[in-house]
Parts: sequence; structure tokens; C-alpha cells
Amino acid sequence: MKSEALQRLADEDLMPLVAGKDAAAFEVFYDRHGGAAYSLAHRIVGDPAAAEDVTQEAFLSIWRSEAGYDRTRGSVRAWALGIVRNRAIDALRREASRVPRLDYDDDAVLERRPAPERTEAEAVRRETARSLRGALDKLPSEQSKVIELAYYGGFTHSEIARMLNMPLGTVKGRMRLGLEKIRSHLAEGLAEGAV
Amino acid sequence: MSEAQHHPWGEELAAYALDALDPDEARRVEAHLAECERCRADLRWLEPAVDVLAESVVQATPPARLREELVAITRSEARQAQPGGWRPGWRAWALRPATAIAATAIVAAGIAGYALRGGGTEGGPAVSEVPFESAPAAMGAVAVLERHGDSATLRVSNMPAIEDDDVYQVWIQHRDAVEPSSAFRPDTSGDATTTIPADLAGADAVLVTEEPERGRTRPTLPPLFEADLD
Repeated sequence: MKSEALQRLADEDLMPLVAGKDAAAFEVFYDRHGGAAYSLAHRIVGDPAAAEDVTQEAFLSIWRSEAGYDRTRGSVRAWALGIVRNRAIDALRREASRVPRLDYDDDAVLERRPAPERTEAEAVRRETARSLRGALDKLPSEQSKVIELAYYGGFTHSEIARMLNMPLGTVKGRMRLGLEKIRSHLAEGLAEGAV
Repeated sequence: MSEAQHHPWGEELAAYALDALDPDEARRVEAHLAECERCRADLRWLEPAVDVLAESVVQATPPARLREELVAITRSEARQAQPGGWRPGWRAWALRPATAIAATAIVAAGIAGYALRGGGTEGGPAVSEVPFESAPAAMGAVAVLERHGDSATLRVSNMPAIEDDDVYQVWIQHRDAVEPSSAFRPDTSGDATTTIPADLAGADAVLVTEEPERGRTRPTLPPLFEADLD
């Protein structure tokens, strides 16, 4: 199939071609989601080279059908980013020691690097991410902390409870409240259409 | 009163959605989800909040080489996935070049044994032709290594066409290490001749791979050809 025709396909229609070893379809898939995937990997592992490895591993696992896409389990993008997140957490866990990176300043690190040529799609991606961060920024810090430790740090709730020296029930309760608030912000349309 | 207080599984579901449960706890939640539509609906409601965590990170631009490598790998594997193709563990090969190739399905290129020609009649060194073994991904191409003392010339014919920026790269293998030698692109007929300037004395093998660009310091794809120099 010609590249222009592939570009017009929805993600859900592209994935069967990728599963059928259509390399051109895979390139379209990567161009759509590679940037978000690399960014998420970078946020988790905190290192450009490691983020590159994680992203490559994740996309190759998708290409090699080790992880097949199932339409009933959400969008292609959320599914792909879930695979990237799992690979990144695995990479973190392979490290002999690790510390929570709650104070990691992505903006400062990334903005210091030479500005690449930014396409319109990339500009939209950055703006969407900014607006979504607004939903996170509205959370009380005690809620965002446990959520970030779990999602970006790969820690279990019991590990977080020990780390923060608080009851397990408190950790789980803050996770729930935090997710509910983010979800409510989405429902109110603060980030409508972005997820 | 919050949803969590209404239903005792609410907090477990949030931790589950965040992948923050221990494996045993996660299995218990999954067993409950299989039976409880209310919790399945609750989880579906929470999941977009987790998706926000993935999408809200500061957006960075991945290095161009990441795309290039993925494209090179997937194009190669797509060719190999065709009928009669070959599916190598390229990553394992790249990490252990000396051993992994022996485990891959290599077919003879149709040139049996060593052949000697020349040598003595014009006073020059003997020229020996070393046979290559080829992978199915070579699509029937033929390669011959002509050794002149410790240097050599590689002649290939009927090579598969490659992308504009791609090259065929020659590698010299010494034990578990490989070093790049010459790189070449075949003509429109798929033929090419390239000199291998490296000293082959003591080398164990000569390999040829397809690479996404010149200047690679280690192979990114499994070899199309291998010639043992023992």
C-alpha cells in the first residue's frame, strides 16, 4: 500500500497491517507515536540513551507481535504507551539501585538541548502534553506524589507506604482520590479530546 | 461520600490501574473484575486518568537514528518474513557475533570448498577463492572472496536492491569482535566489487551485512554472507 494511503488509515486499521509485517505501515505507526513513546521512556528512565533503547525494544516487540493489539482494550496509542511504560519500568528495575525522581525537571533538561526542527504535529503534541499536565498540577502534592511514584517510578503501593512512612490504606486512598480528580478534570472538558 | 467508600474495591482498582499492586494482589483484583461489572465499569472510567500520565510528560524529539534503525530492522525482517524467509535473532547475533551465526539457518551459496587459481605463472601471489555462506535474506545473491596474500577482493552478484542511504558493509571478525571494513553499493544489476584493505592475517571470518548508513561501528542486522577464513 502506498504511503499516502497508509497515512489516511486510522490506527486501528493500521495495526493489522503491522501485524502482517508491512514495514511501511510500521513506519507510519512509529511516526505517529514514536515521539510520545520516547518522551514517556525518557521521563521514566531519565536518560536519553536508555530511553532510546527502551523505545526501540517496545516498538520491536510490537512489530514482532509479542504484544498484539486488541481493539477492546482502548486506543492504539494508550496500548503502545502502556508497553513503553512497562519496558521502561523493567529497565529501571534492572538497575542495581534507584531513587525516586520526583523532582526531575524534564523541562529544564529537555529545553537545554538543541532545538530540533519542530513539525506541526510535534507542536500539537507538546501543547497537548502541556494542557494535560495542567490536570496533574491541580492535584494536592500528597496525591500527585504517590501517583508519580507508582506510574513513573514503578513502585508498588506497599513500597511507597514504606518509603513515605505512611499506612498502606492512606497510599491507596490518595491514589484513588488523585485519579478521580484527574478523571473529573477530563470529564469537565479541561483536556477534552486529548486522551 | 466517594466512590471508594461506596465500594470496598475502589482503592484496589486505582492501585491496579496504576500497576502498583503486588502480583498476588493484582491477581485477586483480576479475579474480582471477571465477576463484577460495576468494577469493570469503574476501571474503564479510571483508565483515561492513567492515560493522562503517559501523555502529559514533557515532549522530547527522539534521535533520528532511532527511526533509521527501526526502519532498517523492520524492512529487513519484512523481507525475511516472506515465503522461504529467515527470522534471525538479530539482537542476539549483534551481541554475540562469533557464536550466534553458527546457530542460524545458513544455506550454502553453491560454491563448494576452496579453489586455487593463478599463483606462480606470473610470479604473483596465489589467489584463493573463499566460499561464502549466505542467508536466505540474500535472496539468491552470490558472493566470492578472492584472497591475495593477506588482503582480499569481494565480488558479489545479484544482490538485492537497497534503499538510497543503505550500504552493504563488510566486517572482519576476530574471535568475538568484529570491525568494519569497506562498504559498497551494487550497480543496477546487483553486481559489485570491493577491495578489503584490512590485513586478514589472523582473522576468523569476513561478514557482509546491510546497514542503514556508512560508518557503523557494529552490525545492526544479521549477516547476509559469512566466509570462514580458518
